[in-house]
Order: sequence, then C-alpha cells, then structure tokens
Amino acid sequence: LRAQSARFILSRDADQSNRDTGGKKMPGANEWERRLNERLIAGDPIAPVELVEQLLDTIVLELKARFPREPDEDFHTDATIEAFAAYIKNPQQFDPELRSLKGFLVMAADGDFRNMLAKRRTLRVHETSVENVEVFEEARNMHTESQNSANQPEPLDELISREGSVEYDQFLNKNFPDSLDRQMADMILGNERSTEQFAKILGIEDRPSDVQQRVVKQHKDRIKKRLMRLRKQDHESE
Amino acid sequence: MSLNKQSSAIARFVLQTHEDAFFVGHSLHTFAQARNYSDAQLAAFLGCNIDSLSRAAMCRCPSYSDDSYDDHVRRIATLAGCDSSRLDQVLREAHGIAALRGIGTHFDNATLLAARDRECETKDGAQREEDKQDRE
Repeated sequence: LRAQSARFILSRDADQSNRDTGGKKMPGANEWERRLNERLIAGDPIAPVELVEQLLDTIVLELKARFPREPDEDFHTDATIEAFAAYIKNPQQFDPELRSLKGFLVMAADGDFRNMLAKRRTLRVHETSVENVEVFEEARNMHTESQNSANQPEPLDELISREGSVEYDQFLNKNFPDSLDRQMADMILGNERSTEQFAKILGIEDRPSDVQQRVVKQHKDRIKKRLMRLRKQDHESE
Repeated sequence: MSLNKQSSAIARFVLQTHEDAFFVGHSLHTFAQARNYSDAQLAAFLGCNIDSLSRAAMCRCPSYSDDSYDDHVRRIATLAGCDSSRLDQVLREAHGIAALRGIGTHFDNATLLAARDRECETKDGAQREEDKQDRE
C-alpha cells in the first residue's frame, strides 16, 4: 500500500509539474518506451527482459549520481531493482503522456532508495548503543516536542533523513568544513558505532585499542556536541 | 544461475527472480533445487547454455490457465534458446512443487493437477490443450 501511495504521489507530482509549467506539456515517453509499456500491460512474457537489459544499468548509475555518498553500492542497485520489479508487475502505474519511462523509473528508484535509507536508519536507531543513548534521547525529546507543537518534522531532521542526498552533503560541508570532522559527523548521523571505523578515519588504527577508544570518544563527543547545537539552533529558529 | 557477461545489477536482478514467483527465475530455481541440479545441469536439461538461463529467468512466468500459455512458453524458449517442451516441463513441475508447499505462485490451481500428471513430459501442445479443457 505504501509503495502504491508513493507511486500515486509521483504521478500526482508529475501532473502538478505539468500544471506548473503553465499547461505546457512535458516531454512524454518515446516510441520504444510506449510500446514496451503496452507490451508489459498486455502480459508479454519477454518484455521484462528487454526493459531490464536496456535500462537497469542506466538507472542504477543515475541513482548513484543522485546519492554519491552512499558507501554501500548494492543499496543503489537494490532500490532500482525494487522499482523495476514494482513497475513490471504493475505497468499501468506509468503514464506515457506525463513523462519518459526512464524519468519515471528514476523517480521510482529514488523513492525506493529513500525508503530503504529510512528503514535502515530506523533499524540503526533501535540498535543504538548505550554510548549514544544520551545524544539520541535528547534528539528524540526535542523532535517529539517539535512534533507536538507543529506536528511536522524539523527541517534538520528532514534533512538528515535524506542521508546521501545533495542537500545532506551541503549541510555537512557547511557545518563541518574540516574533512575529518565531516566524515565523522556523517558516520555519527548514520549511527556508525564501530570504534575501529572511526579509528581508521582518524588514522590511529595502529595504536593500542585503549588509546583508540579514548581518542575516538573525544572526537565523537566534540562532533556530537556540535550536532546537538545545530539541532538546537534549528529548533529555536522554528 | 550463471551471471557471466552481465552487469552486476542484472545479475542481482536475476537472483531476485528466484524469490519472486512472478518471474520464470523462481520456477527455474525451484526445479533445480528439487532435482538437485547445478546451473550446468539445468542448462543441459533445457538444451541451452548457462548464460541463457538468466534471460529466461527475467521473463514473466506464463499462466497455465491463460490461452496464450503455449505461445508464451515458446517465446521465452526462443529468447533463451532452449527447448520449449523442456521449459514447459520445468514450469509445470516447479509450480506443482510450489503448490504442494503451499506457496502462492503466478500459476493457478490447475498446476497442481498438471504437476501430478507426469505424462506431460511426452505430451505435445494439442494433447495438453485437451487435458486443460477436461479439467475445466
């Protein structure tokens, strides 16, 4: 149901975007895309092969360009595959008059990618270690207050939920000019908990483990404080 | 199933079809598992090369109750370069297995009967059509 409503929103957005262009029609699907869509609707058993062989790799690359910071390359591929499988099973969801099939699949894969990120984030929050409880409890409380008062997520939370997006990168670049800090902030926001990973970023992986833990903790505390300050500023500016 | 000469994304898609009864890949996987066949053995059974299995896997699984079933099987076989009667056998047997296991498939209930019908290996399209009418 959620996937269906997401696709409805995509189609509605496309409709809206047509209206936003003053009724000027956006370029729709090309002849090949239209025919392939018709064949899928008609239940042509070999049409999925043609679709996958022609467009899967292209859409994966598009998604990688949109979310260049996602380290797990399978994530882009899986989101694209999910979008393709959903379209193959329900080709009626694509309207060739509104947009190109490629554009539609990019949008669908983008939506699935964001959903997967959100799921991963939720899982990670549940797995949050005791070390992070304080920071995340505080964040959660502030988030809850904000939701109670405005019934809307804070802009910063919204932004963080778009991990890997261009906006997310801009946020990190702006607030963490130092590349080490930026990488660490990215890892903290992604709920990375492995001291080993942070130690690698800091270039101290060869040091004794107690030293690694101490140094990593110092850096993490500093970054977390800055993140909390940003969240607080964001909250106050609401 | 062999994933040679393919991008990693397509290879991943093919793997995904093993879990999704909408695609022929699910039937190929189920059949191969049941018979303990390797990719090479499955390809040999179907009379095609290993790489062709991936193309067949990405096809939509034909519905047995559909009038176009035979035509669809033939088209998939042509695409993958395999023997259509063997592919038909694989589809019937795999969906019969899935039905016995209580797994929903893209096939229909008639498949269970079809799976029990071991004679299907030697039947041609006309005989199968007669069977189908009898069952209906």
